[in-house]
Amino acid sequence: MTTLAEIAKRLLESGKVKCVLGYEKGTLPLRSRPVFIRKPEDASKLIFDSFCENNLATYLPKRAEKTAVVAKGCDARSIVALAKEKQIAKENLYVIGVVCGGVVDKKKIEDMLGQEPILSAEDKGDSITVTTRKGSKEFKKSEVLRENCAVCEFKTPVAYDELVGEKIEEGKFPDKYQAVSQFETQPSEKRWEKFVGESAKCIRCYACRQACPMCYCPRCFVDESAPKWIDTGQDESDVQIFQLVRALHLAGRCTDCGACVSACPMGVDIRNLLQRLEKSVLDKFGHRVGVSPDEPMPLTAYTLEDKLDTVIE
Amino acid sequence: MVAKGYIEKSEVEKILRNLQKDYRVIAPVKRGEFVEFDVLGADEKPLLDFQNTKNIPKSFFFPQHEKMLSYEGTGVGGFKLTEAAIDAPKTLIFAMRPCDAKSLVLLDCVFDDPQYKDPYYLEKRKNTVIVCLGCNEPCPTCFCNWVDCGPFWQEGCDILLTDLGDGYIVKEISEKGKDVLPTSRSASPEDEKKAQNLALQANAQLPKPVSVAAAKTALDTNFDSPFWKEFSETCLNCGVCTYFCPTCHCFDIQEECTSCYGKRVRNWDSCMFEIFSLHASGHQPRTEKFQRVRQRFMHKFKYFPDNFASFACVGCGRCVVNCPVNIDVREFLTEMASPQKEAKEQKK
Amino acid sequence: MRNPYIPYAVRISKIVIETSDKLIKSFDLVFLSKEDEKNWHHEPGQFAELSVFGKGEIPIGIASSPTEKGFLRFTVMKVGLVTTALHEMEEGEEIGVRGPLGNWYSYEKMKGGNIVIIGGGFAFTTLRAFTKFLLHPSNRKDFGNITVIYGARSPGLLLYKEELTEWEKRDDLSLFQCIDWKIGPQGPIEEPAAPGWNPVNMKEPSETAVSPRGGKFTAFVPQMVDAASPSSKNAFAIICGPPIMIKFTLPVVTKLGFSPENIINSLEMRMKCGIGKCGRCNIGNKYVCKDGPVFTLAQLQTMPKEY
Repeated sequence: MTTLAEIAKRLLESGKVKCVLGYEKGTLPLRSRPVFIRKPEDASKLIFDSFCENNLATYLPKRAEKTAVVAKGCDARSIVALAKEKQIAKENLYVIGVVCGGVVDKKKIEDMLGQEPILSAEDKGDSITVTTRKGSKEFKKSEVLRENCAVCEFKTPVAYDELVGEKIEEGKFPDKYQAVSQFETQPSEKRWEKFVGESAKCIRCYACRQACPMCYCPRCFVDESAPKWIDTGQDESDVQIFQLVRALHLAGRCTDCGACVSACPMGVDIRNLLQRLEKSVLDKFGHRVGVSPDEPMPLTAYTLEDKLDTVIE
Repeated sequence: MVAKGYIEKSEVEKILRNLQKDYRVIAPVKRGEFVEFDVLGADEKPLLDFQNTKNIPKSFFFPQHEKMLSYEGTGVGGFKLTEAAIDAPKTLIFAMRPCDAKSLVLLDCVFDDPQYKDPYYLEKRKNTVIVCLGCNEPCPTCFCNWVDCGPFWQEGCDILLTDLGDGYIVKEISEKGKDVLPTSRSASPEDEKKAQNLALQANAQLPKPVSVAAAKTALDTNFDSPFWKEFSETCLNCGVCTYFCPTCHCFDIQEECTSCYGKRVRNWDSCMFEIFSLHASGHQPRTEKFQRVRQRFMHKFKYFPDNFASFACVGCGRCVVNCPVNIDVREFLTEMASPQKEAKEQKK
Repeated sequence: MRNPYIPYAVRISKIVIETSDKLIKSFDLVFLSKEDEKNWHHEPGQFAELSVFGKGEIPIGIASSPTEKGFLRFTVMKVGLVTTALHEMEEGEEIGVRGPLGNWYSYEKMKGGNIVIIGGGFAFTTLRAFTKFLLHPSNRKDFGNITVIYGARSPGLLLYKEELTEWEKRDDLSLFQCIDWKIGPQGPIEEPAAPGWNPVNMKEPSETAVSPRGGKFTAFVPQMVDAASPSSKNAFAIICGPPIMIKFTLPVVTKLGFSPENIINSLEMRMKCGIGKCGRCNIGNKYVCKDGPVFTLAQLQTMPKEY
């Protein structure tokens, strides 16, 4: 079975692409990080494991070079969405799909270890072994999966030029939105409390926005000064507007890749808003982002058949 | 190196309660999932068995959002200006790590300039006593020993505590630290020996130092090197590294107002953001990402030392831990300091 | 020590629309407090941060010389949020001024020498301050020949028309004014762009017949400098203008023999604090607000090209 390194080497040597965008081993335990490979001899750096938390599609909008990109299921869906929004030139892109068993939630592991500094971590496939100064501990991967990965129905990417890994049986999660539905039955004071509490953690570092492939606006609304939509400080309502409006801008576009959650240094529960919007779009339009290459994006395309009542409740 | 005294761990809470009568006491406490420096509640116990805090104590001197002045329209095209009262209560920060304490000394270079003194920062500095806790077990990501700092470094500390297990040795470093903490007895020679061993052990746990001076020499001549494009390619240009850095000091000045009342505030800003250097005319000196990344690293390891003879980094490792794409300043310094790099550039 | 972030309260005493397109206005400001006025002392080349309360602060060069008492003049182009608000204000309204900030044209070093002042378009503001300063009776004798070369796109876009008219008549300075060529389908048209503005020799500007007293010409600023050919002997060239003008003028002054230590520029950057703390206006290890905005070419050559 061809490995990522072999594919990359072949693509670079043949000149089919100028660079291969993938993951390499990071300098921290539980981290694999993005890497741009341009020389065939560097192709051996490419890996794929349970620590590949970034969505590489974020580097693709307006990319001029012929690029091959390693894409997990969620990332591949982002690529489909970006192509529909005309942000990538398909002829310049070669998608190397990877079958993905999910990414671990490093914050969960750190919590389970009582914040004891982690010296090293090993991905054993079904389990992760983590070593601290106090010794080693093995976690079942299913116990420490990132929240979005735990309910992922696209372990095999929907669209690719070449696939690495054996296709595995997709999990079906009919209760995927159960937590969302339950949350929505709560009285509005409780829901507001949750929203205020999460927004209070936000420090406006914009890691979420920069990590997200669908946030590609040349000038984000938070940076606009005329008109100045919100101030740039830590005023409560300004931060809340940022969180809320960013989520709304992602309605019908977010593929629940989890890159924002992993990027956020403060542990803001961004998915609380995004998942509710995802469910709403599914209910109203029957649309799952980036799955079909032909279906138009639900909130940017309008047909006479569209319901005219409000989209988001 | 004669220490002053010794405090039993069992005494610490009582001491802090007493201090709370005269000072606003800030200590490491659990806040949500993280350990953070925050004002200690009246009945709250500090969390002293910690590595380092998520937030940076610099926020107590240079907060993320601060009012500078306010104004009211007087109705006929006139204004009444009011300088903001500087919020600088008498404060004691307990168990700050030496790296964070040194960062304040570096920030002093910027805010305590002989020509322009920043009253908002300086008033808080003046009214704060810093009690440091040396690091017996540095984090795996610490590299303070690379940048003229260390687990028991004294620059910026008013008092330095060493954790001996059952208690702390208290060493008064500055005038401000004199007689602030009551001690149960004086430190014995055995205590001091223990402390010295702990310091040696801690230093041994740190990574072998890289010559940051050599890195700077490489940076002096590498502004136009193609290295920058390569190095910065995966950077997302978010603000995480700058917002967690104890020595970053960039800020934005903004107006916040209604129709007739307003205030001028300053907020943290980041050279990583695209609009940071954008002119009103539309001219942008740093159009590309690599220029912004280069600016950050040059500022820390060349421009700041050019002006103040110190690196603008204390090796706390927060940027390394929090970067969403694992860009690692230790890798950067190692590469810059390597002799091959210098030789390569000299050949050019 | 005074809080450096707090502006002085000032009142707009006079507004002059400088240009025919109405995009540039000069504002004369008077201090509300006599105490503040007494404490203010600036040098030509410095700037100040003007506060439009509710909108923001902007760094603007001081267009009036310290020898002009009783007011401060600032010339502002309408480009963004704050400048638009300022342009909509009327005489009598109050704003704030914070300063003086930055360094200045180091006239002490230039004493006994000849001064060549070269400005383009809107950038002439601090050069007005400097020229007025040099021409002041208490200063004039300390300097040799003064040559002013000032160009804009058209006669209506030249600033300070009153001063220019006065300077034309003086015999203790030479004033060359120039306006841009009209551009046709084949390039610049070799004829006066406006009546009375004689064209310089486009191919060999230095061959143009030019009176040492000055005059009005059709030429881009670099060509005007070439035609005027000011002597570089014991002389200093102060150049302010848009980047493209500076780019083409520098080779001309270098050709004329001005040394990099004697070629002086004033730079612009996005600024906020103006006092070297907020970190955004740096070029290499220098802050344009504090170590500049005036730099010699010799200094600029040691700094990274990031501006």
